[in-house]
Amino acid sequence: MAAETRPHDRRTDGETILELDGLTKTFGAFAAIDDVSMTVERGEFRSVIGPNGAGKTTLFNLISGALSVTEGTVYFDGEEITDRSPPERVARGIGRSFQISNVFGGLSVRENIRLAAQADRRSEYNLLESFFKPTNRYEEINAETGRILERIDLTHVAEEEADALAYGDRRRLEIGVVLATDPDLVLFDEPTAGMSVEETRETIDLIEEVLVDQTLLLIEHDIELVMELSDRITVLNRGEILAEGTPEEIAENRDVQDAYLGGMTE
Amino acid sequence: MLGTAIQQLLDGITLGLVYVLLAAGLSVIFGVMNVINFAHGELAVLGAYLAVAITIQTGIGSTAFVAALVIAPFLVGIIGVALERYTVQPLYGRNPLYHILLTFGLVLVINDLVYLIWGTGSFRLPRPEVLTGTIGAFGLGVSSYNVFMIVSGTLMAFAVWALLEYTKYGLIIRAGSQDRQMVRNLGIEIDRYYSLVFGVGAGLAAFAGIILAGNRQANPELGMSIIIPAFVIVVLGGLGSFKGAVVGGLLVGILQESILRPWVPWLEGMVIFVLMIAILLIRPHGLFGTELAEEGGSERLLAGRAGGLLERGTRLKLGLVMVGVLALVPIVAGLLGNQFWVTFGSRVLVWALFALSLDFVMGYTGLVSLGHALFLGLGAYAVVLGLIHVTSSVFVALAMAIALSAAIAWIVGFLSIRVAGVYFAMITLAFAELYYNLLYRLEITGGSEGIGLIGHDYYYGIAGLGASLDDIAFFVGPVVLTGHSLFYYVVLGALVASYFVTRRMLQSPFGSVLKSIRENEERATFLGYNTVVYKRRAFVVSGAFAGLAGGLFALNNAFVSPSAAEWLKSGEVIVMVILGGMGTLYGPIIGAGAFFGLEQLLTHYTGRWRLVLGTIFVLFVIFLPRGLVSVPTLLAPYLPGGPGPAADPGQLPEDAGTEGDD
Repeated sequence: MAAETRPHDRRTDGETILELDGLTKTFGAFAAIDDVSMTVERGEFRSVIGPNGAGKTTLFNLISGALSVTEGTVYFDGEEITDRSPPERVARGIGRSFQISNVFGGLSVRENIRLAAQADRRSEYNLLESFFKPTNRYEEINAETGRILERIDLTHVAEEEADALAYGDRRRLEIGVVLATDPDLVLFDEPTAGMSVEETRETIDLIEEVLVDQTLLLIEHDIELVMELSDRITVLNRGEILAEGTPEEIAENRDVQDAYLGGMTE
Repeated sequence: MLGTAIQQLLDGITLGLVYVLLAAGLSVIFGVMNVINFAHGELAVLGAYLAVAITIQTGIGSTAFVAALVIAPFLVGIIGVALERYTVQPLYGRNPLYHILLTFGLVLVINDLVYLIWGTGSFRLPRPEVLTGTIGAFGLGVSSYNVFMIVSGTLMAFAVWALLEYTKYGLIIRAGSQDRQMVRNLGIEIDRYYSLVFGVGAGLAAFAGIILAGNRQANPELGMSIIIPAFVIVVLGGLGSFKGAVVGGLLVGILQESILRPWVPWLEGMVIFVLMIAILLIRPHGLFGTELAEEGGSERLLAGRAGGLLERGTRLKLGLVMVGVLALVPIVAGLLGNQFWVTFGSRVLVWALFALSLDFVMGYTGLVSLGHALFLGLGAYAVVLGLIHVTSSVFVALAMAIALSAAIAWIVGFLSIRVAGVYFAMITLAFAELYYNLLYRLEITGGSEGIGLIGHDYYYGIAGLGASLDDIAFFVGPVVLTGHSLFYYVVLGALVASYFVTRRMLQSPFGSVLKSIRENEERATFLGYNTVVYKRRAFVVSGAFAGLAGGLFALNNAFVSPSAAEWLKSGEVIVMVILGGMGTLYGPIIGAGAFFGLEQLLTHYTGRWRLVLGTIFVLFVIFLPRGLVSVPTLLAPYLPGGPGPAADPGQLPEDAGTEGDD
């Protein structure tokens, strides 16, 4: 049922982009993530759901490198990245989105995007240039910045300060910044928290529109939305994977219904 | 032999207890309010002086002594409450580093007040007769005043401990130092307890100051000398931990008085800083502290705000006019036959360069270095020693100063940038103090005497080509420019060049990342920037320019002494940066001018001009944290023909070099 209503045009090619093997994270005696193994295919739209405290955000932090792994391995694009720092992971193509208040508020819209594009294209300048050559003389980076501004439709406000943007435009900017880091996989941790139903819908549509070529990993509370959009869903409970499958399979899974969905699906 | 050892141990415990009382207040104040109170030592001195005044008023004797011991701490406690209420309180919710700046301003104010009221002399608190003798026990003669200090210090520490442990207030304060927000969520207005905590801490400091003043000579400088060990202790024991303050205080007291002074005096004054650095690196939360989430640490420092009011071209022209005016100073001074303005100008320009260097790291990465005098001192000594032992070319010596300062900055940065905020401030302070103390101990640096360039030939040039400034002269109309005047141009040239180099750097990819770090470091990390590396580079750049400033500083005086690296210098340069407006590069230059201009103006009226300076600085921190450069933007809406009241609150401070094309 979900497949037809999905607005996007995603293609998965069966190739694994992210693989977690026996991932465990403990805080003291408490295992926030307990022996989680999963794989995500390139191009997939994967949602991670689960009750509060299931370990969803911890899992994301282990993937982005914000937290170090207690046990287990993370592979990205065929390479082990378990011990890599967050910037190294970004360089390899793992993007992370923040909630919209998290752009560089005092900098211009263009500069926000440009910083992300510059991070992605560090090979284009050497150390000396990085200290002394003004940023407006890097043609590739500035061209890329311009392209992304077009893509997210913010060219007309490019010179404005990010803090001065209207709500909807800031949301666009946030997604544009993520896009400019040229990620293969983007992690979204509740991008719509605190939004109204319409805003949530617009945000998700925007993500789908702009990041159609990227693999998406999403934490989201709106089950209806998740069911509608996801290719596959992973259900976490108490740090362990309770179930995994297509929206249809998850909806019919008894364990999931008992543990989490309760009476929400009929 | 054993007798001496016990005697020394008792000395250590005596001093240790004074430290305990100081550090306990300092630590609890930090734990509860996140305030690093630099003025704590001054409050102790204030207590001591008030006690003297009271004993003299009431007639020396036991009653007077007891009266002083009760009344003086109480008075200082009230002053503490007032300080919290009227100066510290407006700053809650800002970056905690502003409290460091504020309380540094208070140091200047209180210190000069003490000078003004009581003069510069040393004194000793008159002790009652009962406490002047010695008590014989086990064949040892122990001074009865030491016994009194140990007993009263212990009792006081116990009283505080009991207060914290067994009263409702204590419970709230302990809970507050664990998790303030949680306490608020429980419906307790923790903010109301802040004044109380600050007042009690101040009273404790006063008590410590009083009993110390009966034990040794005290003078107005006492505060400056006890505050640094007190910080070491707080860091050692753990910021916010009372138990840590007790253990740390005794440890440092005994280490200093009982071990280092009698046995390895050469290391005295250095070991504690090595210890402090080690603790901060290995266990930043100290021996007994709990790891605190740095509350409020995400609040940005407030950068100067100047852009937008004037056109870019206009500002460039204004800058050029300023440089032109500065270039005329020696000529006008020559015409007037008054060389004072040349030497004064050189001094201001050297400090302006120093302030510029600090701004590069503080204004753009939010790293507040409390030990930037380290690099001033390194550069100064490198130039003097270089000219004496290695080369006679000033340029080569300056290059050495820059290279050495940059290298040390890399090492210090490598070790310290992993710790953030207040801890970074502390660790840079420790490095600077370590170097400062080392300067006294080394033979090559001339110890406390310092070392001069008089009698050594050096020239401005390279590879033998060049001249001594005293040997050449330029004729501008009727004016002869030589010596000091030419040096003035050397400094002016260095400052202008440094300004353009740093400005260029800020327009580069490197600089743009620094700005993003200032805006939001976490986000910069997840764009793929290793922010630690960028901050370290900024620190190295800053250290290099500070080293250049230090070299010029030494050349200006043809002399250098350890005071070039004292922590007061680090504080003063921060004052200049804030006065002018940080994060603008030119703001700190203006700040240096304002600082010395004020000094010049005020010394006509009073020798204690820091009182006024400190007051102005405190007012700036509270009401105008964005500095002088932001004044026009603030006034603009009220001026006729101004751009109207729509002054954008988030205005970027400087030229945001990405768009312009110059």
